[in-house]
Order: sequence, then C-alpha cells, then structure tokens
Amino acid sequence: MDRADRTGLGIAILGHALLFGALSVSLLRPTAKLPPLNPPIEVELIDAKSLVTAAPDAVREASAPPAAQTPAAAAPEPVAAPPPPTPVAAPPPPKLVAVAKAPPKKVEPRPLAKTADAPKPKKVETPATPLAKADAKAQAKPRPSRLGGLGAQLSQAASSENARAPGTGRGTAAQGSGTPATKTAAQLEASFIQALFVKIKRYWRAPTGVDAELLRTQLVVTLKPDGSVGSITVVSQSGDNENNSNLKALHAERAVNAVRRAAPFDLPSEHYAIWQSLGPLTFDKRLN
Amino acid sequence: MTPVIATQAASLSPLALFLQADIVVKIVMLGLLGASIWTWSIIVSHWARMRTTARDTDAFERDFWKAENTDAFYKQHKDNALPTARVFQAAMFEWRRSTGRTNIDRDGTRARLATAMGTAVAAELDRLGDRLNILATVGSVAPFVGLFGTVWGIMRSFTAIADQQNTSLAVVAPGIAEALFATAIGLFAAIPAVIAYNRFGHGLNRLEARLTRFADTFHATLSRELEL
Repeated sequence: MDRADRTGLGIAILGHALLFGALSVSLLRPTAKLPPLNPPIEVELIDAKSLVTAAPDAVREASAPPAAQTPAAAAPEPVAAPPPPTPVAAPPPPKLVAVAKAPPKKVEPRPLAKTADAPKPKKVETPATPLAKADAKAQAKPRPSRLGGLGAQLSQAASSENARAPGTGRGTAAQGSGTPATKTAAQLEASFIQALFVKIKRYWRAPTGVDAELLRTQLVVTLKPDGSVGSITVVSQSGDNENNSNLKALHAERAVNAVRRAAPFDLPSEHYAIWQSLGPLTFDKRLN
Repeated sequence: MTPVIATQAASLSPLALFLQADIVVKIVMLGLLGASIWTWSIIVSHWARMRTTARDTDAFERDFWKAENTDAFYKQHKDNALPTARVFQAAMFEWRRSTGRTNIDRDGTRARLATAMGTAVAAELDRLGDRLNILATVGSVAPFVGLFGTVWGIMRSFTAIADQQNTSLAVVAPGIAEALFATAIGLFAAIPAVIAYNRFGHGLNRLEARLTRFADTFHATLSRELEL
C-alpha cells in the first residue's frame, strides 16, 4: 500500500462519511410539501332519488290530473264547474273552455272552500294557459268534436293509463318522474326503499367466497313510527348453488344485521302508512 | 427501536434505515458500504497514479529521445519506477549482458531484447491493472448482493404483514423502504465501479500501446547499434 493507495482510501472514506452524514441530517430530504393546486372540494355520494325529481311540464300537468282522477272523482267536476262560467265571461270562447279548464284546478280544494274569491285566481290563470286549455279540451270533451273516432280512442287510451297508474309499482315511478304532484304510493315506497338502502349500504358487507356474488336475499322490514325496526323477515333467497350454499345463512344474517344496525331510519312521519312495511329489499353483493 | 427512529423511517436518513433493518440486511449493507469505500479508494488511487504516470512518461520520453548518451541516461534513470523507464532498464540490462561477451550473436541478441522488453511491458501492465478486477467484481456483484438484501427485507416485511393481519401502507412501507435501501447501496457501489473499470481499462490499453511503441522504437535503435 503506497502513498497513492492511502490517499485514495482516505478520500473514499471521507467522501462516504460526508455523503451519509448529509443524508442522515436530511439535507437531501424533499422540502416542504407543495400546497394542493386546487382547494379540496367536499364530495358527497348520493344515490337516492329525491322525492321531487323534475319541474312540472305544462302539457303533462294539464293532461295528467284528469288521468289521475278516478271516474268517481270526475262526477263532482260539473258541480264545481257551473259557478265559474259567469265570472269567466271575459274571454270570448267561454263555456266549453271553462268546463274543460276546471279539472286542473280540481286538484286543489281551495276554490271550493272560498267560493266568493274563486273567480279571481281563475281569471288570472285563464289567459296564461291557452295551450293547456286546448289540450285539456281535446281530452276531456272528445265526443262533440268532429274527429269523433279518434277522440274516442284517445279517451280510451287515457282511461287505460288511468287504470294502470295506481296499481303498478316501481315501473311507473320512473315514468311519472315528470309529475311530482301525482306521486303514487308505489313511487313513495320506492323512494323510501332507496333512502333505506343509502343508509344500509354503510353497514352491508356481503360475504365473500366462491360464487358468493350470485346470492340474493330479499327481506321485508316492518318499521315502527319512530323509524326503528319492528321485524325483519327473510322472504326469499336465490342464486344459490352447491358452491355457495354454505354462505346462504350468512348472507341472510348479514342482510338482517345491516338493516338492524342502520336503524333507526328518518322517514317522513306523515307517510308512515306507506313505510310501516317496506319490501322486498333485495340484498346482493353491491346492493343495487 | 425507539419511536424517534420509527418516525424517521419515512425520511431518507440512511442511519435510521440501517438501524431498523434486519441483521441479514445490516450485514449486506455493511458489506456493500465497504465495497463502495474500497471501490472509491481504488478509483482515486488509480486515477492519481495514472495521471502522474502519464505526465512523467511524457517527460521521460522527451528526455530520452533528446539524450545523446544512452549509457549516461541509463545511469541517471537506473532506479526510476516509471513503466517506460522499467522497459528501458530491462532492454539496457539485456543489451549489456548480450554485448559484454566477445562474440556477439546478433540475431539472438535482437530476439532476447524483444523478449525482455515485451516481458517488462507485460509486467508493468500487470502491476498497474492489478486491482481493476476488484472494480469489475464489485460492479457486477454488488447489485445482486443489494438485491439479496432487498428480497430478504421484503420477505421480512411480508411476515410482519402476516403477523399483524394488516395490509395498510403504514405497516408495509418502512420494511420495504429499508429493504430497498440495500439495493440502493448496491447500485451506489456498482455504478461507479463499472464506469471506472471501463475508463481505466481504456486507459491501460492506451498505456500498453504507448509502452509497446516505445519498446519497438528502442528495439529498432538497439538493432541499428548491433550492425555497427
């Protein structure tokens, strides 16, 4: 080992000591964190549909109320209609229109309650909705029109729709999204179920295993007026095969537990009649 | 370990990373650190030696070709340790022994001179390139050694994951960082070693060419002398 070797060794040790010392006192550590480019935005994930989904559109509102009205309800119409004709005298083509126009207003009981004031709101509205009037006239008074056959068909279609609307459940809920005023019990129930699922989702953990994702458990939940759970019954289970049959019980148990843990639910108390028994709630891997 | 070191694990502090590491990884790290120091000491000393050699050889050859009296020059540079001087000394030694006798075998003398100078060149190159193989070894092996340390460290951190039933980054990250530190040191040792090995190999080739050139020229000069 000659002089060059010794100096080389000395320099190497010194250099390493310096480098590792610098690293140890973190001279090379990245400096303060950069601030985020944009201020963070709070994001909330909501997958329940709100009770009112869209603004009412004029045509539907004019035509829908008569459709929603049952034939029995149609009877009072003429009774309510006769008073208006006299004050409505202002527009020239009066009486036929007035009869046709009455149904939309029928939805609110107000004009009946204060008969003296009734003319005024009507007067305000009559010039505003000529389109709706014409539309309503075509539907409500089909027989006297010259296109008798077509009118009859139209009224038939309207009445068949009429018959279907209250009976069907979630299918019509989507269809009727444009008319919040005429929300049916089925629609309300669907939205309550949605609200329930939003809360349950936090507590739902599907079991894992072979073919576990195929399992479906349907529950019917009865609720007490304060929103707590009364009883939970497993209505049915599907999607089981020989691979996942051992998970069936666990799946149902977890579904029940998820509902219990998610309780109490905060639902509008005036609709308790609708949500006192909700279901069937279908639990699958992803929960809707 | 103390909590202080645990919190420092997120930083680049080599000391914290080292202290946290497994015993096997520690040994690997120490070995690689030693290899790195060794490599750099060889690099520095070799580089310094080659630089002085090149400078002194320039001066020596200039003086040599200017010198009128080769015998006097030989006397002057008898103990010179320069590679060129060693080749010159070997040639002069052989020349004196071959021409000291009464009847001179000219062809035999030429052959012996060439052999003597060739041997001197080879010996000088051997001496100079003696420790370059260490650079080559470190350059090729250090990454693998570092990788071994990393694999070992990662195995250990996976065991930690299994023990804690917890796959959060907070559990995994320190172990992996400390394990990767072994590879970092391996590369840190290997990269300069490979670069230096290639550079110095090239430098030695050039020196060999230079020594051979000198030997050939000197051999030509001595052969001319023999014919007189």
